[in-house]
Amino acid sequence: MLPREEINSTLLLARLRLLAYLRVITGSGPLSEELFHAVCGDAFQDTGGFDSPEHLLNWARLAALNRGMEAVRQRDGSYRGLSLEVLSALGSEWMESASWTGAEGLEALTRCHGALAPGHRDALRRLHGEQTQPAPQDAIDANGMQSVPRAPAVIPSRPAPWGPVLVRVHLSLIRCVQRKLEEA
Amino acid sequence: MNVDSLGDADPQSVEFLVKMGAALRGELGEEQMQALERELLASPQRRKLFTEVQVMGQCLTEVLRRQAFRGQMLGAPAAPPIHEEEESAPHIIELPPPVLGKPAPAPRSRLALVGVALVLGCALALGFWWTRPAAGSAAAASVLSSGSAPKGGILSTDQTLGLESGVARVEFVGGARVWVKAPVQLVARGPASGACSEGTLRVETPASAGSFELSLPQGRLLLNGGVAAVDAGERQSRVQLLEGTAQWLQEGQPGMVLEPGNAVSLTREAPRRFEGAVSGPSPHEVDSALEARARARYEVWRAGSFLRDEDPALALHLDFEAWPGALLQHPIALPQGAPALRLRELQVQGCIRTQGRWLAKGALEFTRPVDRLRLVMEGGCASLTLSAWVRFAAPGAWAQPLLVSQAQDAGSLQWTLTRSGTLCLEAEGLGTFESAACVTPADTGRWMHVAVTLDAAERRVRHFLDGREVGRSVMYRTALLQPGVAHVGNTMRPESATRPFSGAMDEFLFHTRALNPTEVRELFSVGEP
Repeated sequence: MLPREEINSTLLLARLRLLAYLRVITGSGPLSEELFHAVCGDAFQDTGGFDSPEHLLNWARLAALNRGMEAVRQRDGSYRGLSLEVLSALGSEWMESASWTGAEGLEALTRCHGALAPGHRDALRRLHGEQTQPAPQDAIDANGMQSVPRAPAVIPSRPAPWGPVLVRVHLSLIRCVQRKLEEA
Repeated sequence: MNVDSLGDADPQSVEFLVKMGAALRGELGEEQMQALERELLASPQRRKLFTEVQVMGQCLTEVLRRQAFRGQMLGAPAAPPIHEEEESAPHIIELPPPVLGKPAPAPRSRLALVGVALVLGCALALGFWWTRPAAGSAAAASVLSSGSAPKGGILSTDQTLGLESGVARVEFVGGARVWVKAPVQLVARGPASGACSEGTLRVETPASAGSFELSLPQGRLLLNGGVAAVDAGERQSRVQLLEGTAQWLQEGQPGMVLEPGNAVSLTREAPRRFEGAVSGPSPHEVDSALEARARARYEVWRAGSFLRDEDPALALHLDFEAWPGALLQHPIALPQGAPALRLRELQVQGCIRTQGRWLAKGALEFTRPVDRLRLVMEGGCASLTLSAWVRFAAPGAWAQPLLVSQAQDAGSLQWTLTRSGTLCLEAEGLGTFESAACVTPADTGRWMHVAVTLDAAERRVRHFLDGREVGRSVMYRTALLQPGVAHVGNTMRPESATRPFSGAMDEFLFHTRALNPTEVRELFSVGEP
């Protein structure tokens, strides 16, 4: 059985990948964060049930999928995103992809991001930057632990649009990070 | 990296990813959606590509959040939030070329004005006023000197770092780093500019930091992503560019472009090139000296920490040292002979791990509305001491919770930094006890020690900031203090006007007795960064 500390470290290592998966389902960063913590909470309630890190991650992915779809249903009345078949197909590859989500990868990404043209950096900030000032009180209340939270009013519930240039910027960053990790 | 280097991406992949983005936004018709899903199901490469781009987006969110937090800590404006109107507007496609040979963009750019207007508009519409310091922080200074260091290591705009002896490393908000060796007079003019009237420096600006302007008595040096050694003096200065590009601008003289290796002698007359080297302080030596000092202080704190943990009245000590990260339900070993107040459960909700008071020390960063530590405590106590090492990102902008009981029952607690900069302890059934105003926006980004003691025997409540007493109140009755379910760094009281704590927390202690002022001072002096 997987000890508590290993559950902790395995989920932490998979945090960004799980968050990205949840974001595809829910379209909301803050909601994805809450759901990720809910999934972690579930994992700790069931510490005797995991044989291996792979088992835990597979379970976490399915739990994230279920929780994500349920949360969207509660928020929007119905779920109208990618089909369950597609999400399942994506999910099975999700946990194996993107080796750069560790500390070294993020460090490499910071350097690659720093080398972008100012216009690209600004566009990425507008696309991926978070609201760092506290949200108004009504939004905070909506994020209470007892209920499924709604996204604060000033954060869009849908992902922002990606044009061809932004897609290319993302692909370039992936190549840059991979290259830096190989060099290291 | 410019737009030309992005041109080698497979156009079909780019088109596919743009369509996927539209699908996630619910902008595709049913048929288009089905066709896209078929493509995705049929092609593992497409699934991998989509997955990697989405994960990259999440990683960027993480990187930007850390950068924004670092900037906020040093007083740089926070990134404007994404607004619905921006979302629906056509996305930015115009990409200005990288800025080389020009100073950093002035903060009066149109985009900045629009961003400021939007933030102000939202703030006013929501009845929420963001109070920023009139003079923002420009740089953080690590100083190793027998003289005085800037308070909390933060240099405000136009503040001078003057050293008679020793060395220092100054990190500007804009990203430039300056190593200095005494005697030196360095003024932080702004996030990307400084002035030096005397002293030897080494200036580094990474390419991502834009340009940095250093004013010397004879003129201005504009460094655009490079390294320069500077020996500044009133009558004569000498500059050598070691890497990158730089310009020298002097009144009444034509501008001079410096190339790597160029050394110039600067007087009130025309600048003269010379063969030779300018010796600046070695970053390695300065950094090593600073790290050795920090390590020594960290070890002193650790030694003291073990001793403090033996205090039977210590009900909770969160030092964030071996913290595994932003996760949950970390088991806590109760001290032997634990008092009537016991910690039953601890959860970290959100938060990310960050650097604490010293390089090797961990801390927790609170940046989002959901970030908090949830404590479940059983029992109660008659007296208490709450203390914490905190770094506020925006003191004075709103009331910031340090520890707040979830329910407002008899004996519940609410310890906050109020909007007016006072420390306040509210014990339900006992009263509200407030200090004098002691924390100001100028304290943004510096580590400070806050503590409150409630002594049932003496019927006294005392507030402390950095070991100094800043408030004293008399209690007219006593009661059993019962925190119950409580949150560190947040409040879950729906009626509360308090907003989440924004900043970082390095250590949190809960004693079930009132420490005396000497003991509180010792907590500060041993833990002082």
